[in-house]
Formats: sequence, C-alpha cells, structure tokens
Amino acid sequence: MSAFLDTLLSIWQNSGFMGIANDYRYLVMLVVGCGLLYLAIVKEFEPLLLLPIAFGMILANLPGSGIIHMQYFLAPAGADPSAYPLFNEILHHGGLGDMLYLGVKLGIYPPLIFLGIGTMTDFAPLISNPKSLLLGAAAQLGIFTAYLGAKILGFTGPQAASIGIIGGADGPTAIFVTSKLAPELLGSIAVAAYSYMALVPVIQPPIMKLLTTDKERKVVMTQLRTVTKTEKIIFPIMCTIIVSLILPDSAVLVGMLMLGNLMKESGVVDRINKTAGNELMNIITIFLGISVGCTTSANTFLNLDTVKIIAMGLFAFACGTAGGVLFGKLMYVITGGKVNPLIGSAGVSAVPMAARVSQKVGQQYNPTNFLLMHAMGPNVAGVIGSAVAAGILINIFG
Amino acid sequence: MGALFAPMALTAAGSYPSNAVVVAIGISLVFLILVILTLVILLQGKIFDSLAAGKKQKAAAAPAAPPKAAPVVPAPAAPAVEEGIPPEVVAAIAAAVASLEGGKYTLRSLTRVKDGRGAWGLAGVVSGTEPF
Repeated sequence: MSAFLDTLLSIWQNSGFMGIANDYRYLVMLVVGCGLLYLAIVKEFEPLLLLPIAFGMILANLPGSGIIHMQYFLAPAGADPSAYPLFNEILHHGGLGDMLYLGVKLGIYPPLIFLGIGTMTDFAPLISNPKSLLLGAAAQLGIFTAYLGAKILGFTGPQAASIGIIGGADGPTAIFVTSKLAPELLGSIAVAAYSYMALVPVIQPPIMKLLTTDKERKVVMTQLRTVTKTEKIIFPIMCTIIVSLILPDSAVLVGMLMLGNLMKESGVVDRINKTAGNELMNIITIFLGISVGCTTSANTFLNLDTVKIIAMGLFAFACGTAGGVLFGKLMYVITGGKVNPLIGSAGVSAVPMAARVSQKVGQQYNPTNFLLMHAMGPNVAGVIGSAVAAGILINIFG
Repeated sequence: MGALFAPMALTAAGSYPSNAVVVAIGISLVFLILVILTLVILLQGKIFDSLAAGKKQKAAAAPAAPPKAAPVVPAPAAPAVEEGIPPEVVAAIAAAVASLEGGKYTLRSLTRVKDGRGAWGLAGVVSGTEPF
C-alpha cells in the first residue's frame, strides 16, 4: 500500500501542477497563449501563424513537457557564445521542438517562406511604375527610428536592430534577423510583428489621414503602363543580381523571393511553382509557427522587455507608415499632383493588407478612385526594401 | 561597396558603430539600392517601349501599301457560320475578338471546334495526367 502511495506521490510531484505551483509564471504564460489563440481564432489576427505560435507557446510552458530545450541554443551569461547552439546535445537529447527550431536558428524557414511569397507576388505594378520603389524605401524609415527608440530604451545594438525590423512589417524577415542577432527575443518580436501586421487596417488610416490633405487624398492616378512577359521574367533575375552584389547579406531573402517569382513568371515550371506556393509554404508555416511559439518561456517573455518591444513595434509601424506617406507627399509635389500620397503607406510590406488599406482610405474620399494597383507597387517594393534593410542590419551587427 | 562594409563587419562584438552611423548608413543604403533598381527598371522599360514602338512602326509600314485597295474591298461578307450557332453567339464572339484585337478584324467564318475527344474523355485525360 505504501509503495502504491509513494508511486502516486511521485507521479503527482512530477506533474505539471507542481511545476505551476512552484512557478506561477507558467500559468501566466498559459493564459497569454490562450489569449493569443483567442485573437487568432475569434478575431482572425494572422491566424495561419498566430495559431501555431500561440499553441507552441502553450506546449512550451506546460511544466515538464520538455518540448524544447532552449538551454542548448542560448548561451548563458559568461559562456562562450560561439559554442552555441550545442549541436551534440540537440542531436542526442533534443526532441520535436529542438529539431524544428533548428530551421529557425539556421535561418532556413524564412527564406523558404519568401520562396512561396515570390510565387504569389505580381511585380507588374512595380515594373510599370518603378518610382514606387522609392516609396518602399521611404517606408523603411520605421525600422531605423524604432532602432533608435529601442537603443534609448536600453537594448543592445543587435537587440535594437531586431526590434526595429518589426517596422518592416514582414514576419519572415523579422524572424530571420532576430534569430541571427537576438535569438533571446525571438518569441516577443514574432508575436509583436504578427499582431501588428494584423492590425495594419487599424494603425495606418489615422496616420494617413493626419498627414494628407483632402485634395491629396482625392488624386486619381493615371493608368499603369502594360508590362510585357519578358520584362516580368527579367525583373527577378536582375533584381537578385543587383541587390546581392551590393549587399550579399540580403541575397538569401531577396534571392528566394525572386526565385519564387521567376518560377511563376516563366510559366515553365508549373509543378514546382505550385508546390513552393502551397504545400511547401504551408509545411514551413506550421514548423515556423510551432518553433517560434516554443521559444517563449516565462523568463524571456514575461518581463518589461516584452512590453517595450510591443511599444516599439507599434512605434516602428507608425513611423514606417508616416515615412511612406510623407514621401508620397513629396512625390505629389514633384509630379505636380499626379501621385496620391495615400499609396505611400503601402510601402511597409504587409502584402496585400497595406495596399488594401490605401485603396479603402482613397475610396472614402473619392468613391470612383481605384488605388489598389498603384498601391501594390510600393507594397511589393516594401518587401524588397525590408529585405535590404535586414541585410544591412545583419551586416552591421551580425 | 563590399569593401566599404568590410571594416564594419569585422568590428568586435560590443563595439558597434554609433547610432547615428547605423541610421544614416541604413537609410541611405536602402534608398541607394532601390534607386539603382528604379533606374534599371526605367531603362528596361524604355528599351522595351522602343522595341514595341519599332514593331508597331514595322506593322504600320507593312499595311501602308494596301490602303488603296481597301476602298475597293466591299463591306466584309457575312461570316460563314456553321449551322446551329445562333446569331447572338456570333455577335458575342465577334465582340470578344474586337475587344482583343482593338477593333481591326474581320470575322470570316465560325465553326465548332472538332475535338477528337468528348468532354468526358477530355476530363478523364486531364484527371489522369494532371498529377504528373
């Protein structure tokens, strides 16, 4: 009888309840995970990623589940960071979470997601109106202002760079940069980046309206020039070569984006084009979501840094939007009123949501105005712009 | 450009460039790269536009000879329409061709496509070969 009770007691002591009793923060993390699940399922905030991230968060914070061993990946204070990740430990004692997280740690998933995004992106609006690339560049202002803000709040250079990249409004890019520069902040930055991307329709319109006049918002832009198939095929090849020669650190992201696009535009590899844009991307999305969710432990998530990151993320989005709109105003003046500044806000990637916001706000003031195609130019330019900015930050802090 | 950044990449951890340098380099480099891309695309667009214009000119030069003959040609004869195709369908097809070809067209004849396979046979072939 006593053996029975002892065994029962041992099972109870090893149970997650004891873990929660010993450290209440596990419970808080479970509540946060459930809150994010609510946002993903009920509010449909980027559910494709937020749902697996939130569930990964719950799994990682069930005491004793051992789904991931972050101690194999993050060097503790004083340890030699070059010895990490401890591949020997990971391969001998690692589990599902560890294996999946390797794809994040080694920077494999984000470029593969970019490959899929490339197969779904139409660069024609950008090729027909190349000036929209400048709007995509201006909207990256958010990255660098948020970098400054994060530095003022006391983050280190690499951490501030990872926080700033939230302003690129591009989840895979944010994860790519953070996994290289500040892996300890990955969970918080990924959650902030994807939450704000879902909130683009709420964050952007007030800033767009504040910075533009009624007359500017009503500008009807002229029809875009038709782009030939040859131009669409040349663009990804040319873009990859030019950007990668100038900034080799961007080669992986830009290269995979353009490879996906070339698959689409060439029209000769329909089978792998479909796989890259559907099955492969879906599989990677699942792996990425779960492993990023698993990195959120109470120690790294439940602290003041996360609050600061979330505040800085919002700041980055707002500054990026403002940068795009203000540059749009500049183009409005230079072109003598031919450019509607509202398309500038679409420069913050977040494809195609940001372009839809430009269209919607534009139509509020001129119901016959169709800005969508014009806004798609800066929108896809923003993807290139944030990948370039990511390369610059990795070059400086990597 | 690579040489410009080599010293920065080589700086020891903890001794990163100042904030002002990071921001200035970051913003100017993003703009520089995207401006280069803009210029290259503009150039490419110009080349393709001039190529297209050249083709148009050639195309315009070729039919330049027959306009004299044009008035001789009587109003185009009614297209030879296969039996069983209602005039509404003929009108719809003519309109579709006109919208695609920019109005310069003559619908000479209209016949049903003779395909060796029926719809069911075709569906079978598609479903059998699609996975490959």
